[in-house]
Amino acid sequence: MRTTGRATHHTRRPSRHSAARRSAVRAAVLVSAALLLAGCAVRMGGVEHYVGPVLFRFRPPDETVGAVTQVIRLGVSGEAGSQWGLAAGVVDRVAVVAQPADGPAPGMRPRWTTPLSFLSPPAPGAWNVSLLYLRVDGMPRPAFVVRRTYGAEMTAGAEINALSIGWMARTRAEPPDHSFSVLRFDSRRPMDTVSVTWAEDAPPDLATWISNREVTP
Amino acid sequence: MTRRWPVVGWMAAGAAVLALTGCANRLAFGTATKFGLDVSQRPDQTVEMTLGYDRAEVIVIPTYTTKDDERAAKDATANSDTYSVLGTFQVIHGNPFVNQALIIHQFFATGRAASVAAQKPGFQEIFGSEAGLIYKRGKEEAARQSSTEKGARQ
Repeated sequence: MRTTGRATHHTRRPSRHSAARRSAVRAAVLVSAALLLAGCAVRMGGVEHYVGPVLFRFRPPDETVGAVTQVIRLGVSGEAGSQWGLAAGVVDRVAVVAQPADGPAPGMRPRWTTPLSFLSPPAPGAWNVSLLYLRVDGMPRPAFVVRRTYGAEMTAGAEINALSIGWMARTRAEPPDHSFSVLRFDSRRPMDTVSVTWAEDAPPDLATWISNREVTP
Repeated sequence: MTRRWPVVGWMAAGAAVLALTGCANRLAFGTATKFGLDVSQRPDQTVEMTLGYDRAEVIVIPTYTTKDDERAAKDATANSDTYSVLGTFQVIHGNPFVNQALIIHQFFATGRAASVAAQKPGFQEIFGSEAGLIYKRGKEEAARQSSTEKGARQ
């Protein structure tokens, strides 16, 4: 019996070792993939930080339209600041800043930089890649946000409170208080989104402008 | 011994977190298209659960009270004043699975701007014609549904 037991023990040991090795390799691959695809987005105080790989494009504000930024996070990613959460999959967020009709407020011109990248600075309008760190300075609270999620996400905050698995697309617009505001959005051309606001003492021709451009034909 | 939380446990915990976090009392307009399992809270509403496909358009208009000569947001009551809002919005939902677009056009006048707009003939015309269009389209849609139902009965 003892001999048989030993023989069995000797024959099993290599298979246990190889199974353990396979598990270790698998775990290492999973951890490496998670680290490579993991990221975090932190938005607070007008500054946005994106750590980890993201795909992004943006439109700086000019005299007529506000800033638009679209950031796509892949893999496992966390979120903190104005919105908290954890997601696995793809999270695509478009944020549109409302532009006052008399021009942007001083000091509120967003700047998109990738300080840890050796590549050329990000170009407006085109898709850019940030592997390590994307920073957006001077980003006011957006008046319009679109979030698309493919995968699983648990998130809570000012934009959305949700726990979801699957495909979700949500938009949220917050017209400012005591003002007139116009929003035009087409998901095929998010960089062309228009969000303009006028104070309550709007110009006399605003009604005509709205009537010609915004009202249902 | 390891104990695993069932999916229902995680969903219940998530719903509790969502209910506790809540939403800010602000004017907000939102749309949602979902395909899958979702537990979410629409602005200022209770937590809801969706399994499968769902679509929604929601607008939240906060109520206000006069406090120290300023209008401060507060929860709605039976007799509380409502925030003044005039607006038109148009949402076109395409089929997301064949890359059809989501298009949103909206124009809002909020608070004092809404009061100003309500007194100006230009804005009265805009909102009047928009309301008329909505009314007309609603009647056409009702007539179409009625004829479809009659056809089905025959």
